[in-house]
Amino acid sequence: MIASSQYPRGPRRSALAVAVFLALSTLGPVLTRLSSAAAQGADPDIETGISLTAPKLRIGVGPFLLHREQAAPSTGGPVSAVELRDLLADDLAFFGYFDVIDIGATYPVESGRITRVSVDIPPPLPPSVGTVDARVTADLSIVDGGTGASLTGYLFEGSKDQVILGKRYRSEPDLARRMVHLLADEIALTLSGERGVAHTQIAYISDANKTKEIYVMDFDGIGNQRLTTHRSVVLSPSYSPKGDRIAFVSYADGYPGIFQFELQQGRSKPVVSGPFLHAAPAYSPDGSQIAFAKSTDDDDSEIFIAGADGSNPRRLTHQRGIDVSPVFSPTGRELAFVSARSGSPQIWIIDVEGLNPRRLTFSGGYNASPAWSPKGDLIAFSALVDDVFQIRTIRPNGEELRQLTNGLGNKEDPDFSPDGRHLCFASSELGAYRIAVMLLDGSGKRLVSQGSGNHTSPTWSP
Amino acid sequence: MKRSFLLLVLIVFLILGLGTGCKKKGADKSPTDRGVPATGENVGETVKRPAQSEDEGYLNRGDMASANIDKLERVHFDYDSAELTAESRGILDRNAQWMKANGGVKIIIEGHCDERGTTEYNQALGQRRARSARDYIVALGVTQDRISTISYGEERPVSEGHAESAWSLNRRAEFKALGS
Repeated sequence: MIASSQYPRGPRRSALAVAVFLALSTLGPVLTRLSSAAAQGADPDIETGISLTAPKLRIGVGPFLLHREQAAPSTGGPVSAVELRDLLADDLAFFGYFDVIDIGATYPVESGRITRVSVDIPPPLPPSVGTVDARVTADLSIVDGGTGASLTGYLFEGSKDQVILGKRYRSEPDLARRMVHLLADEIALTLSGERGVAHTQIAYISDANKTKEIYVMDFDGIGNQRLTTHRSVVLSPSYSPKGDRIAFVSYADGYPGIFQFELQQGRSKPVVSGPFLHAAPAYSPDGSQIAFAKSTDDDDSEIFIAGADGSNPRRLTHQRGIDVSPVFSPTGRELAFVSARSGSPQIWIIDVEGLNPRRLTFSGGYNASPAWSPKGDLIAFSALVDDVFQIRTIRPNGEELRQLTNGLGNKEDPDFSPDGRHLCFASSELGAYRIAVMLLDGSGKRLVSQGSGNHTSPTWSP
Repeated sequence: MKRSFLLLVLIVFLILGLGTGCKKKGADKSPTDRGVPATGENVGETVKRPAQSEDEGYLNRGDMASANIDKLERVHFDYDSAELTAESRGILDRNAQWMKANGGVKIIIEGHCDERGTTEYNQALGQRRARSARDYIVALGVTQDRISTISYGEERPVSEGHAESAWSLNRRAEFKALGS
């Protein structure tokens, strides 16, 4: 099925990739001070943002060429060369390490003829653009009498016409966006050594149709679709590491139970049920286990781990006080969770055997909803600051507390993108809750979810 | 480390590139001489349509509670607390008397929270509120097996406001007839 075309790389290609890779891995202790400590929700003692500082690559995007079977150089219909070019530019800009330069939306047309010699030779760079580190063009074809579409993308090194990546995708015309997302991720992989996140989805809870159900959308908010139809209360979705399942809580069986939505089958099925509280499921890194909170005989909630099918539940915590919201570290050796055993909700870490519980957060009176970064170096959480929830991060050793958001409106329930460079969260800054995405340094924030209702509890697909 | 990883990636790509290059020669109709993908049907990645949800009509069994019991009054709690207030104890004294006078009735106590705080923490907090109320009336002599508990967290507010006037009403335990 998959036979991707690849090209021999020019000699400078590996040097370029190494340079970018090294630049990207200097995510370090460089800090940015609050510009205004008086801003709502700002704590003058806490640094803001995780620095992603690295020299950005200048990447030129365009032109895209659309040709139908009759070779008419028109745009419009379900596939628009201009829209897809803009989409690729948006994707690349979203990754956070490209300066995206517009080098024309379409090939110039003169006397009804396209002035290009060959699809894999880009037209000359406009003088106003200056130099670029790389440039992308693409060739779109509507085939099979309009029922098929194909996209061929070319990545060129610098200002030359040396192809360093060529990828062809085929689909139906209304899936053209998806082809562009996959191309963007391949470009990121070629230039940075790490696949981009434009292929990802975000699942979340919406009450747009009265009852809370799970919905899923592309990372940029397009293609929204409802997954569950329980007509009850559905909460706390969490993707499996392979992205084939979503664990969640539903009250459809009367009591709150753990369920699993299987994306290929398109169906949900119960995993752990019974007349208890079950809350906040999360998969282990290999997908074989599930951690969750369950109320015990004294109605106090404790952390449990069971097989992903609910088998062999094992209790980890025994302290009086609410324990909830467990998440595995990427090694699977530890879990972060919320415990009120100290008197207020705080983030704690415990070994997977149930040993060595230790308190991670000491600043503030309400810290909850931990998410562990894919590389293991950060834990993001919601922190109540001046009566407003803000997103903060801390190292698993308790150092380097940072605040990534400010201002009015709660920002809750953070989750990391698979590349670890972005966070999604629920934000009420415009009133109703919307799913927001941003880079870890706090830049590039946008509210992406669309439609009515409140959108909460996002989980980012692998 | 990184350098050798990249080298490995490069080698893998080169092998893949040579592989597709070989495969292409037969079907190729309009290649350039620089290894650009051919227009043959076998080249490239087919992008599939995501699966559709078939979850329509998962059987919703409805609430555990079957009806309100007018004689059983709800009790309210302080912020982030499952402790009973003096006022709550007075109400629970009356609720316990009614329970003893109506020995056949099984009830479910629903614990609820205001909208502040996380969904999951509030689920756990609601469970403890229901338990506090249950423990009190059990201590007054109502048999334990007549009382179930459930938490709805912040999912079932009685007041939709976003201020203390609404929150204080929503932090509560309710007493309802248990469904069969």
